[in-house]
Amino acid sequence: MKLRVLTTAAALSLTAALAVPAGAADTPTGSAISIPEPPAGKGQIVFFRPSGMGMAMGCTVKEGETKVSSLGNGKYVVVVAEPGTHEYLVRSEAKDALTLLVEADETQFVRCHIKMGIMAGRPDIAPSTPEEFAGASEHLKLVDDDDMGEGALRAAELSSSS
Amino acid sequence: MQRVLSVVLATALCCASATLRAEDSIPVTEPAGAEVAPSQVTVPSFTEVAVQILAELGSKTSTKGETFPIRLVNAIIVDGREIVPAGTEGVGEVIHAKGNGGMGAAGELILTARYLQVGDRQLPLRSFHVGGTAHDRIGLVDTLAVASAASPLPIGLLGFFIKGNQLTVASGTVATARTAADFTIELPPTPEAAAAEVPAAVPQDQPTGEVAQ
Repeated sequence: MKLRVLTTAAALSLTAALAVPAGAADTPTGSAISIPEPPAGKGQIVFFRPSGMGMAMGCTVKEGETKVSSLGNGKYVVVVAEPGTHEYLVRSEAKDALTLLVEADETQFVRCHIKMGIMAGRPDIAPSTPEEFAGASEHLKLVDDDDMGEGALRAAELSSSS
Repeated sequence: MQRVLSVVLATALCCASATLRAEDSIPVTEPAGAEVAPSQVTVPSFTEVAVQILAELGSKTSTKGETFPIRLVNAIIVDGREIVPAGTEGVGEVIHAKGNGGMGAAGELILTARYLQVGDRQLPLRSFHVGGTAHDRIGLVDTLAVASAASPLPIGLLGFFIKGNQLTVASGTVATARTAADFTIELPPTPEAAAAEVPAAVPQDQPTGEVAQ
């Protein structure tokens, strides 16, 4: 009996640790940046790149051949997407891909990081959490409108919706 | 003695007649249980359910598109009636899986619950957030790269051999999901409703005979 209770407790705590609590609140607790709710019936993804290595390199996120946004060092962007499966790509001398299941009325977070490479840095995108975004938010700035691609919310749209 | 019996019989007939007059006002032709136990019940969308993963999954061992079995932990109950029993099985899917790699990269895994199999129909699920990124060692690799710049030795190259952790989701892990759409199901009437329907099927004049006996 005790073993079963412990197993259940362990399973629940693991679940809590693994859960990506996206969508519960679109602005994560403690975030210095306000994230609006996605438009009705759509989902959204917040791509961000905390300050780090490879400052000179851009992390250009694409979906297929369509540019979503370039992420400079210490930048973030909010991208609205249709519900369903989306595959996002970043590439330099190596390629990295991330598949996400976008669900209506939910917000997800994705982090880009430039890893060391042989000739140039290698961008890496990975699923993140609202907590990680909130922790980095103080040093993040919105991507310039010129660097944004399809689906990215421009500065004016963000300020009007928040 | 006969007089006493006659009085008792007369009283009984009188009471029975009064009861019948009262029952005349009840619409017995309508099935009394129809409103109490509707034959169609709807599980509204966004109903929260606890789902258990029935397979061990991992950023290294799982592949994108792979499906895995899931099970409903607690029954779905609407208006006090069990609509979908606990233990109902369904299907989950690996949305993204990537093993750990050099330069401190960690394993990544994103899972979703697709549906529960209810009879010959599928109850679609959503908002099942299990997975993420394991602990990485990117900070350590970055530190080595900085140290390498100040060192005559190319110690930064060690970063190619430093990997982050793998992410594993144990079989039996429980997480919440939500129903993705309204799900209407036909149910047999409750025992109370079935019992209430029996008098409605009996001809109206028959109780008179029973009471008279």
